[in-house]
Amino acid sequence: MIDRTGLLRLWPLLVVGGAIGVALPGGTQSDPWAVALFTALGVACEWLEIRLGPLGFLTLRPMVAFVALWRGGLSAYMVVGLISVIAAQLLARRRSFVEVIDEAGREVVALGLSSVAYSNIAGSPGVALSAVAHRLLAGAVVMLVYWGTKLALRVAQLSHAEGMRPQQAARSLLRHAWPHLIVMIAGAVGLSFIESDLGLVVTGLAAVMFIEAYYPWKLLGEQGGVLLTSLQMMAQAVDLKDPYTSNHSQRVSRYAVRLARTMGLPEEEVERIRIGALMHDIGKIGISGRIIRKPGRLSPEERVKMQQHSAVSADIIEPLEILGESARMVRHHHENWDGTGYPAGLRGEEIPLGSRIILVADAFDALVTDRPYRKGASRPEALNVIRKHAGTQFDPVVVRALERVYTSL
Amino acid sequence: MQTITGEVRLLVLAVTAVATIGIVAFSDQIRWQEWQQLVLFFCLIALASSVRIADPRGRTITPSTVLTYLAMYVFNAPTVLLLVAVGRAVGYSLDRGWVPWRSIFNGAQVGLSASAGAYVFGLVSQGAGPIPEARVYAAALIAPLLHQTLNNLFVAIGVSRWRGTPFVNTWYAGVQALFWPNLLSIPTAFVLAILYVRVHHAVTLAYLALLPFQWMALRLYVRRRELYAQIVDGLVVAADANFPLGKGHARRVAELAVAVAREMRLGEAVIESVQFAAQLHDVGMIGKDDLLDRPVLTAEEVRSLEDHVKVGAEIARELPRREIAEAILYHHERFDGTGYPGGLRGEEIPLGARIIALCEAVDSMRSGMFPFGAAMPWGAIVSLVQAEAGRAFDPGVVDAFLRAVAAGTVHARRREPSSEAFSSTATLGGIPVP
Repeated sequence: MIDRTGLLRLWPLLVVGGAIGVALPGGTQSDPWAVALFTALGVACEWLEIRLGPLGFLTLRPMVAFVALWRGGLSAYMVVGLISVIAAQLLARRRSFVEVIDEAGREVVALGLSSVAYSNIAGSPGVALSAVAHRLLAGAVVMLVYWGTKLALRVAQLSHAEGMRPQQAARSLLRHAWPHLIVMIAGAVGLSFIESDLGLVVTGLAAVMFIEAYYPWKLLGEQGGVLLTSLQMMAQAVDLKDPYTSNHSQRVSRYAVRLARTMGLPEEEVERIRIGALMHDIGKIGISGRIIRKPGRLSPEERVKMQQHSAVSADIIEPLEILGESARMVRHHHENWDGTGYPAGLRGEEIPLGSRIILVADAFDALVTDRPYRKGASRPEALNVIRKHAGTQFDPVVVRALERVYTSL
Repeated sequence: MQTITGEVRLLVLAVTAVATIGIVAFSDQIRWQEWQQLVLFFCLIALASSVRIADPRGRTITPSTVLTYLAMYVFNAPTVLLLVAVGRAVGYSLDRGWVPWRSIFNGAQVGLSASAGAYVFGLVSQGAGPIPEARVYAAALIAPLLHQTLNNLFVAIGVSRWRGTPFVNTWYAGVQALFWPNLLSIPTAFVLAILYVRVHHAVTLAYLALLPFQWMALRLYVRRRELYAQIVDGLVVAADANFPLGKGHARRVAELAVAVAREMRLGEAVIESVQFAAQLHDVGMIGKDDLLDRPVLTAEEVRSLEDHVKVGAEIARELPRREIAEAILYHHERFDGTGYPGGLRGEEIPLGARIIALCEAVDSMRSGMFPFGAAMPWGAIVSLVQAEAGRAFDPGVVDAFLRAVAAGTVHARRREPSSEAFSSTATLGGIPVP
């Protein structure tokens, strides 16, 4: 049986294959060495990921592709862009075949639209422009159309898969991207002048110069990932006190981010919620595993100790920079909407929004995972339980957001 | 106050004298007529060598390397000697203060090695046409390498005489540490040189415009790494407080491990991963707190306790650097092969794990932690470590530890965590405080 998603996966393959078939003969015939050099440089650029916050990244590759465009025309542009993106995915990122084809399909769209823009506006010097102005215009148009397309596709993907509001995603991506876009326009034009005046070897060296100068941005992006991984690691250490809650914090964090994005919160707040949800149980570090694993009712003393964990979590992260911003929502993540929670008995809107989101995510995960004394509930069952307590334990707004996304959590 | 004696003084005087004689003797070959370019370059080099950015690896880098290479490509040897020697000396003392012998020696030795590079560049590329050909590329590669090797040679002679370290090792370590970053500066300098000659010498200024963009990332990166280290440290301190007498244990083990690793002259990257591994070595113990307060453990409970290395490694496996997880997994191996979990022996045990094994034992002994009942006197600890060389511990690590003891970088005083941020946490949440 061929289902629709199978067919949907097939079309990028057709597009990519067709694009290579059309572009390859023309692109490599004129000067194979130049195309090979630009492709190699493109792969090197692709290795240098420049993170745009948590939502995406860009690379310097289109800059090199532009030089190929100026020198070898549209088919050289397509060949360099496509082959280098496919090679980089396979060599450096070790993606699966489907992912590579998916990425290449998006690349074809961006390359195609920017080619059209190039040949319509900038490719034919109809207006009287100086050589420098003409090339600058071409560089700006190609880069802007290329990146505009790429970013639009990324925004569409984020809003489809993550439930983000498109304008939120676009704003966050653009805020990180614009300085790099300016550098890339200048770099593309500069490189193409170097290519036409000084030859291929110097162009290669100049591209290496750009990569070298940009290396700290790659380091910077990776460091953000390392921090999150380390936090996940510490959270997992605490979750392991009870083998049945392994990876609980990581899942709660994923659910909470999803809920927050569905509710249209700004990305900075989403990041705080991501960290807060990850760290919400870190205070259990000081509670004996015997109490945490106890299947029956807790004694009053044990209950007091257990209930202290949200305040302890907040106390642990409060003095730490970055994490400290999430301390308040962690402290109150067991407050109930009707004011019957702990530690402060806050009610309604007094409770930080992040806390209300974490509470729902936490409850949802607790309901759907297996416990020694019961099997986990199905997703619709879990949603029903939570819905029943909307307005008493849970914030009705957050529960509504859960209704929209619970099937895909 | 830094003072120098004997041979070092001789070296300083010799290098300075050679540089001065070189400038005076060949002053007729210096292209004074291009004075605008000379002034531009002098200012750039002085400025660039006065700016230091903390490098990810804990060293400092300055943009002056690229400019020195550029000078070697575009000027003749005497001009380079003058520009680089004076420019570096001025920049160096702008940044670190004017200590006559140090500033002049630094300028002179960099100037000499750079002018040697410029001389070789001229020799190899002599007669080449305006479009670069193969031997120009070869010359562009050889000249900086020669410059760096000579530069490191001068520094190594000085440092090895001053600190009494073996000369060849010091030289090699210097060359090795800077080889890749310097190699990556060559394309940049070469492209700038071509633009300098073929377009205009003001292009160098355009390069300077790119630098702030690069530094912004570098600075953010270094800052974020500090934050990261702080956060891991903070969380680990919180985790330690879980155990009787454990408060600050991970941090102390990490301090010991760094001191020992430095004594072993490991690279900064290795030291850093040893440090993280030492901080996290008992992260797998977090779930096993209830086992530690029992008087007697069953065989199964002992096995569960020993499993903390596997749990810890499993947790740390998430980190991008695999050697951290490896060091955690094997930190209870013994050098003679009788440890757990794998019964590895000798060099089969990762180096980080061998270092942590010793440091963890030392800290447990001096603070009376599990399984040692009470704090031991420092002298007894040192002789016990010595006796266990080749049995529990790697003799090489033991040697480094003893050297660190002799040098005073590790000592008996049980250092409390320097930040008291967590003391309130410890009482609030019912976390047992020793």
